[in-house]
Amino acid sequence: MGEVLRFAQLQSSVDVTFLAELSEHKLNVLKLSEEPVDVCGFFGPNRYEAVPARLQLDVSSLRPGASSRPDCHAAPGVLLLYNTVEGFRNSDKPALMRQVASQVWADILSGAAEAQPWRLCRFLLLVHGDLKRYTFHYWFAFPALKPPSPITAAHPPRPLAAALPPSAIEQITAACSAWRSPAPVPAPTSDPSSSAPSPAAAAATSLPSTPAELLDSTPAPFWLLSSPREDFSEDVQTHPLSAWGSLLRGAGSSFGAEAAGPSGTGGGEEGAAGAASSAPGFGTPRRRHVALAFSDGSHLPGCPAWQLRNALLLAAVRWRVREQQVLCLRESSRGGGRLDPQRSFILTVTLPAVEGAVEGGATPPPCPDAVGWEANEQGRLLPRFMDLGPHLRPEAQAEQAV
Amino acid sequence: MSLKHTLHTLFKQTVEAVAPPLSKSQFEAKGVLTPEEFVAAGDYLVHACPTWTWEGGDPKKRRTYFPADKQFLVTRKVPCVRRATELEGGYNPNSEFAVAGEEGEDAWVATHQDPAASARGAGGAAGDGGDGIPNIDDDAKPSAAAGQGGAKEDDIPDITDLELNEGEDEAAAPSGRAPGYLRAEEPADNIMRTRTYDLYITYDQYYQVPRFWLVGFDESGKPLLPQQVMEDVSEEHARKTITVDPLPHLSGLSAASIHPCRHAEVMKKLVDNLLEAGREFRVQQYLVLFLKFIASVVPTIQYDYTMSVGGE
Repeated sequence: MGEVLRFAQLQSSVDVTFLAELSEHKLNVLKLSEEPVDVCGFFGPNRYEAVPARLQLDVSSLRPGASSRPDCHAAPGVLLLYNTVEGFRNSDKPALMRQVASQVWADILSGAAEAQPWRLCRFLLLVHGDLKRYTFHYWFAFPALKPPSPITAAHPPRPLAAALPPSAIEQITAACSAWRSPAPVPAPTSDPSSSAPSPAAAAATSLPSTPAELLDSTPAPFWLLSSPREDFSEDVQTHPLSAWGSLLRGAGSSFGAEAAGPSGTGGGEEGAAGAASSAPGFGTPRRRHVALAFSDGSHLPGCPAWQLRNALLLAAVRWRVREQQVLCLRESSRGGGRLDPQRSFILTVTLPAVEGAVEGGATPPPCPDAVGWEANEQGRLLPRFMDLGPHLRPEAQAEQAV
Repeated sequence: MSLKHTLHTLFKQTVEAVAPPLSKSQFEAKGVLTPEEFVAAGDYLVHACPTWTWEGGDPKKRRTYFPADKQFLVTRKVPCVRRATELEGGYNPNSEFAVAGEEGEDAWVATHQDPAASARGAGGAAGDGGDGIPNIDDDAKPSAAAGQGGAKEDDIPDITDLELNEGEDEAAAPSGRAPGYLRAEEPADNIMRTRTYDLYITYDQYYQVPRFWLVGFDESGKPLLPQQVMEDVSEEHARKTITVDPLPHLSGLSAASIHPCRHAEVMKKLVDNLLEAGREFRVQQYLVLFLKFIASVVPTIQYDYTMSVGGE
């Protein structure tokens, strides 16, 4: 019925500092080991119409203490650094992809991905570097698990500004900005007499030191928004994905079934019927409408970024919804970094039925196929190449220092 | 010039190690900032324009006079759709050669080694209907000259037989693919050849002013060389005020930066102009004004400098 929903692929963006740190790490820590290394990538909501969805890696991808990225979401990656060209060539790439995909699948089935939504954003990075010449072949994969049939859009995507009343946009903006940047820990400058903090106080603001700590210290890229009203004009609250069950407890079987009905031209009315229920867990017996919110890095109108694919699969498998409202949130660059109601949009997606029952079931359902190898600059599924000699070779650095 | 710069850098580092940071406000008299004023101005900027954020950087490189999580300011992935050279009405080979002869230094000019190609590129972009999206050849040229891009892709012999086939994925939006693929069947406005910049503002203890750094990425997300960054700096500044230095707070990265030696003077003048016009100006607004000034140096990098200052 609806059109197949299309997702904007991610573009990798590797900072010089990442590969410089990787070279150091290879020489001093990994040496000849080819064991997988945990890394982090960073992404955030789209801010500029001209910039596609990106996953960025920099020095803190390998050494989380090296810098903080307070405005980003973190994604977990597995880095395979091959010693030889042959190793890079001969690695079984489809098998590696299946391996990461099965982790994502297991995390969806077990509920781990609801508790830690970064588990949906796993990526794979294969690298072979010639450390003497500072040249690197590398290949990213962003596994997206394919449901049995494509996810479709029940209605065309509509900008928030057109779909919701201004009061709703105001509340959603406030709620989501609080989600994205939780109240900061009070500054450690307890001594008002000294204007500059002491080194001890500076050390108190500790940065995460492992990728695992980093992942848990950054806000989740997916969360839930709930309101007693269909158009989110009242009492908008944010919840982690894991609150889905408690939001809907006692909801019975009706939710999700009635959603296809509403008229398409109702201004603030349409589309909000994705999930409605009573919410005893939140102290009010009123039905609450629940939408999935997503920090959308894509710049393409109506096309959410790649990461949403696994989150929608989770919704189909764990929540058993056939229709779900999704808010794809983007920011505005002018006037600064706040939610952009013109470019953020509401989607109502129709999800296929996906077998994912594990309770009591003997064997979990098999992992769906995954796609998501990054294409090279020519649009072919081949490794990318980078020559950092001019950036990193000592002689070249000396030449540049003008 | 290179030697002079190196010596000056050493001198500056020595002074910074020995002399304490500025402690008494001299903003009104000289246009400079104390570290406290820098933090206050940074807080104001982050509040006024949340595209900028404070970061702590490498703990080993922290300045103790700043809070640990407020060492420098950064805004990421800022688009730069056009090269500054296009903005200035096209490429003028004469000016390049004059400078090259005068300075006896060709590091920056190297990107324009083939004036004919640049001229063709600029003409081509205009011919495309003036949509401001540079011809892809424009960018391929300097990349190749700098030894980047796909030029050495044959390092792994016959790498093409690594090509994977993922089969049909109807849920993938085609514009995620690279430009070459898109060209054939997608409308022009889906083709993204936009460079992006990570912009940093650090505090320069020696000059007691903010310092602006540019870390660029090409259309496919790969780092740009500082020489390529020069293409996005207005011509009158490219060879005078831009230097390449190690970025403080982050290890292993050299970046182009606008040399801060004249910042105080310029800022003083801008503030005086505002005051003469009867506007108010508080030191917290320093960075907002500073960014307006920087916009004249990097006219095509689209960071937000639209916030008003001086009670407008």
